Amino acid sequence: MSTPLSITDLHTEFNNGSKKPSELIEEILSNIEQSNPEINAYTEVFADEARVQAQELDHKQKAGQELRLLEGVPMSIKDAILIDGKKTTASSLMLEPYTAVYDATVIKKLREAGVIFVGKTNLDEFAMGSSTENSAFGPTKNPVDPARVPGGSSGGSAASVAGSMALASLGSDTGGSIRQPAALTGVVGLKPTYGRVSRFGLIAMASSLDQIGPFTNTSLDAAYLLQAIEGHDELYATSATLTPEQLLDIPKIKEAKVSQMTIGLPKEYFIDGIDPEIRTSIDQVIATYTSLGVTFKEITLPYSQYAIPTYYILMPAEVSSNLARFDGIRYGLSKAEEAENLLDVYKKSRMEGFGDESTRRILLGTYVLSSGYYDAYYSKAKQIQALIRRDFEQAFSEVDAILTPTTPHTAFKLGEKTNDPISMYLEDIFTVATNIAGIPGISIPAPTKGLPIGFQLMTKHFDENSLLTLGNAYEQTVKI
Amino acid sequence: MKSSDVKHLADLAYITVPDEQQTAFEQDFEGILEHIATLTEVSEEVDTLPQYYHQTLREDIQQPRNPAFSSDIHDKLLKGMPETENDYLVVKTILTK
Repeated sequence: MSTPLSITDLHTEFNNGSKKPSELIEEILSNIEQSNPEINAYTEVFADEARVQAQELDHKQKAGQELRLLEGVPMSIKDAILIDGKKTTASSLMLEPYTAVYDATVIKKLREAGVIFVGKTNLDEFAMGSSTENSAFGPTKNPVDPARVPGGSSGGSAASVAGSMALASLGSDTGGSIRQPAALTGVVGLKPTYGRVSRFGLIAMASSLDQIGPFTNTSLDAAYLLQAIEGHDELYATSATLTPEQLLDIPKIKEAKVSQMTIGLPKEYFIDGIDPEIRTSIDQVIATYTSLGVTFKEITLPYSQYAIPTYYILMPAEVSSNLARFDGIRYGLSKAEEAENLLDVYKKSRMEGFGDESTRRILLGTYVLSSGYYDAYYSKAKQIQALIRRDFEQAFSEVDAILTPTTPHTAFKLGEKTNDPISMYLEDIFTVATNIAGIPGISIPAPTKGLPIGFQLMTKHFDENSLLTLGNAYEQTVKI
Repeated sequence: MKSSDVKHLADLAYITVPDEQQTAFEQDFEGILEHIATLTEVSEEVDTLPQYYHQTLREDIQQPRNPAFSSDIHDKLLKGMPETENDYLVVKTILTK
């Protein structure tokens, strides 16, 4: 018996009686038991609760009741998203003692849909990194090649799906933290439009850029999960009220033809230095879409070359503010016993609690926001953010979507970039502009003869219907 | 950026940074700031003020309790604290005068 690859397959198997929810959970738990000691995708596994929930669904199935689409779907959750009563550490010593006292809105919605939460997954501390090597609980390894990283920061989530330790997962994406690990492990990763999904209950890294999204094996599964978690949340001011046209339309995504669509290829992303293996793979993707009648057009996103430096001003500025709350007094790790005065409590707790990358970004953020440098850095970056957004608006007046590689190369080896922050930051070179502009992006596995490669599609704000239609059409053609 | 600048930033951010790490950060920041400096190439300026399409603030009315919190939130918070007394959280004394 093998684990189904898609939610649709699973739903069919549950409802024709060929698989019981408890059988699937036992397969998943067995995969975790075998693989997790090496891969380190999970920081905590909820085996007992998952078994109880699956057995309840067994009874429902036995009684002849139809299971809803997401009922019994085993999912992992990035350990930066709160689950009531469960430890939520953000893979930091700072929050190692912290237990959540409420559900994030996305968890509440998935719980109501009948999803089974299998466990919490590892990440770069406070979602800061591109390799999941910055975790206080050890690095996660790539299930495809354990000598290599799974990407980050949601590397545990990506590895759990790629290693058949979950059928889907939730991660968060601030500069590429869903799409980059999805590309490096060979799964689908979707970053929705900023505001489409409530961030209530997500530990904030950079609040104007963070967005929760799913990891799955197919674009259609990503659509099902996004539909379950999208929409306005009265508990979160930045969550958007979606118009009927903006709401996901699954029948349309499944059936719409892509032959009338135009995809833009930004010339700034297809430069000479691109890895030939990735270039060849992307050419094959373009050929597949061309065979479906899609038209391609060269476009320009001139300010995208400034996306990484812009990101490394805006993001640490917000990090330094968001992480100021971790002071050894209110929650998490405290060094009050060893401190001589209040200031000493703050300093010692933060020194012990934060890892190197978090400290680096807090200091960088403090610098760019400090008196005398604010205008030169932060104000300048906000200007360029507006120009990057304008680039995309102009591009989407000409094309329906934009296609690029997700990453500049395939998964690198563990330890290869840990002492070179700039090299690590450049891992997100193709993904950060999406967050800066607030638009949706998806990474989908591309053809490869070796390590996984991903291609990225982007569309205008709240046009996830076109994004997922294109993703599904590609997968149907190459038979994923 | 000098090592003393890193120490000053650490003081502003309420973090103790050991001496050897200050040197490492100093080198990192030099590279990062050099990379960020490419933004000075951009001379075009645009309006960055947010465009509000509708009133985003709620009416000032009393709301029911936060529905995200379960009815036993009070007990959960107390249970999560190392020390409690008469339904209050006991915290360390941080000021002695």
